[in-house]
Amino acid sequence: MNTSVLRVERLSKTFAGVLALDDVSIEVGPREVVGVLGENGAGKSTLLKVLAGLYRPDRGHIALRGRPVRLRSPRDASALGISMVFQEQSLLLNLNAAENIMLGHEDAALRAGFYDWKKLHALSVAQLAKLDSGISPSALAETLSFGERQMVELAKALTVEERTPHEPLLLLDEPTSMLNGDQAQAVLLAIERLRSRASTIFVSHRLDEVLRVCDRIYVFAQGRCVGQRNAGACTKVDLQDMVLGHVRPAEPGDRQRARQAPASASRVVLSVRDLTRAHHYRSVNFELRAGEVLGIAGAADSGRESVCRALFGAEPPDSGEIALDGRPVRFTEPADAVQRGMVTCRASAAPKVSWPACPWPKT
Amino acid sequence: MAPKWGRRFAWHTLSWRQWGPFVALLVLCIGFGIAEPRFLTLGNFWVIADSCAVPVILVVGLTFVVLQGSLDLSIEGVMALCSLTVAMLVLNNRTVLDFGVSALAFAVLPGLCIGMLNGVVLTRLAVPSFLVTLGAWSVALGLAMLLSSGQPPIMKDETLRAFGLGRTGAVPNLALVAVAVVVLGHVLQHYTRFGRYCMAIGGGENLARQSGLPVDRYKVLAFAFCGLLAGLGGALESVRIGLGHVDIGAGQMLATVTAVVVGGTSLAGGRGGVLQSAVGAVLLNVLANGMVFVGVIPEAQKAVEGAIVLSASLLATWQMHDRVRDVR
Repeated sequence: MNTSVLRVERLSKTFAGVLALDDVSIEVGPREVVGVLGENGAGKSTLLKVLAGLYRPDRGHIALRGRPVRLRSPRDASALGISMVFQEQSLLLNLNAAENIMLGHEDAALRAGFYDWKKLHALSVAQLAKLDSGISPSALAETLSFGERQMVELAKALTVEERTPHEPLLLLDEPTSMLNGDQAQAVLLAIERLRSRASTIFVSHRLDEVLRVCDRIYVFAQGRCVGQRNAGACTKVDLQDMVLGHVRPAEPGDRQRARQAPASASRVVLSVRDLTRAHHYRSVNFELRAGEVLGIAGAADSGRESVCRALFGAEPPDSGEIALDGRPVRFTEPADAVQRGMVTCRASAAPKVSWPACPWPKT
Repeated sequence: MAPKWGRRFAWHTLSWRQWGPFVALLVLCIGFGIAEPRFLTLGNFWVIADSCAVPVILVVGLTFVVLQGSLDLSIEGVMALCSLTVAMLVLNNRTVLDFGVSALAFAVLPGLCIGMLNGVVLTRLAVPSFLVTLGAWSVALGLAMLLSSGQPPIMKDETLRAFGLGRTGAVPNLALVAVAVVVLGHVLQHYTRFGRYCMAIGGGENLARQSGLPVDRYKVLAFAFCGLLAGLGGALESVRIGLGHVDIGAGQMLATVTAVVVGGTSLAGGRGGVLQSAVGAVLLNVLANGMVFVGVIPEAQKAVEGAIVLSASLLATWQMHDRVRDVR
């Protein structure tokens, strides 16, 4: 690794007095996949946004392919072959996949100022082929699954390859955070495939993903780069310790006991019997006891949100019974639930919905 | 390669929202035809075509603005200003000018300018479009009143009058212009950057910016195009009645917005198109014409029109609900 593609030296960035990046130095070799791990607020996204030209660093140097560069705008970064996939999905849902991939760079598909749709579709298929993805270019983005949309985002980022003479440097900000298992696997496969044509910085908080696709891993904590490991020479536990740093969890024994205590002793606060809503969920049964924390796990579209909406009165179930403190209830709107002391928080990483200020899931 | 994606227009992506207005128009025509057979004569067809011409021209321009998620309320003012302009540039009883047919070309320029100004002001100052264009409406109307000064100029240019009232074969000339404008609009929407970027901006302005699109430039262009067509509409209406008048566009702004919505173009932007809007405009005119035929009393016509608009918006928002639920 004598000629690095990217060398970041002593980079710092402050937001309103808070050090988001504190003296960070990293290096990315040619066709290397470098992982960046860390908790929320560790500075991972800030680093990527500086490299994408969205933020300007306060101090520090960035060298690309041996030459010092200043990245003043996304355009600068893009001209140097840097391309970013954002954490929140950024496709225009009312356009088709091809338009999304080529958006802003349609020149090659224009004939005398008019779109040659065949050409545009062919160009986008060429990008998708790099990922070995068979998504139809004429499919509207809103009809694609989250996994497919992520593929389209990757394909869009890859257009930088044709636009610049450089081999691309891809910045992927938690590209799998919104995907379920299979979809995430497909995206990880695509990233592995890109090893033959690009260097990649892969930000994630999923340790096993990082261990799987990355060659080297930087660990960030509170704006600092606290360590570096070769992926082959470390384990999940090593990384976990580094990510958590000095903030050790409380004694495992204490937590165990705290969790066991309420389960059998306390009363049932909420019970759900045979809750069913056609096409969403079927015969859901569970009980929640006082003091308990109950998790509902499942992939997107598995019905987990739908059940919660039913509990909260935002979406009526077809049949079944919900009982609160032993008495059956049927909320017709969230206001009823609020009155009975229920509160919900929406998933924060959810895609944009029309009512940003609405605290409960409305349909 | 498989021709599956090779086709130029993705017909399978058309939904009820897009076909709905076409179907409604057909149903309406058949219904009126059954109730009153004289409605379905060729003669009445051309009458409707003639009355649709100007509304269709207006609606094509507004569609691009609405596709971006904005609104242009200055249409009536622009129509008035361009009406006065064209009437005073041709042979008339107020000025000594006589530009002949070329007056039409000059007369749309004020519309273009006001549209551009609308765009520049609202992008630079980041003011909501309806506020800026509401102001522009008054300004343009005020200028038209100054020009008119209480004496509407009467046009005496025989060529233009003959064009405005005349027909080519059986087809009213203005209807031919309207068809040309629709074709132009459709091509712009589907085959040019202007049209595609309007869709992109309506789909998500910030995302479009993030992709490096010059959003502000295309906003200015859309308002300029809308102003230009509003000007053309005003000028043609004047040519038809032979008078430059400040009230030439009275009621047209609301009618045009209604036509856009009835056609299925979402006021939130990003969905719909020129063809749908044109169908919306035709539908409203067919409705007005047909109600006269079947003898709906004039007092009730407004109410019927309102009910149609209401059901159209209900249908449109129904689809929105589904989509929001999909996205979660």
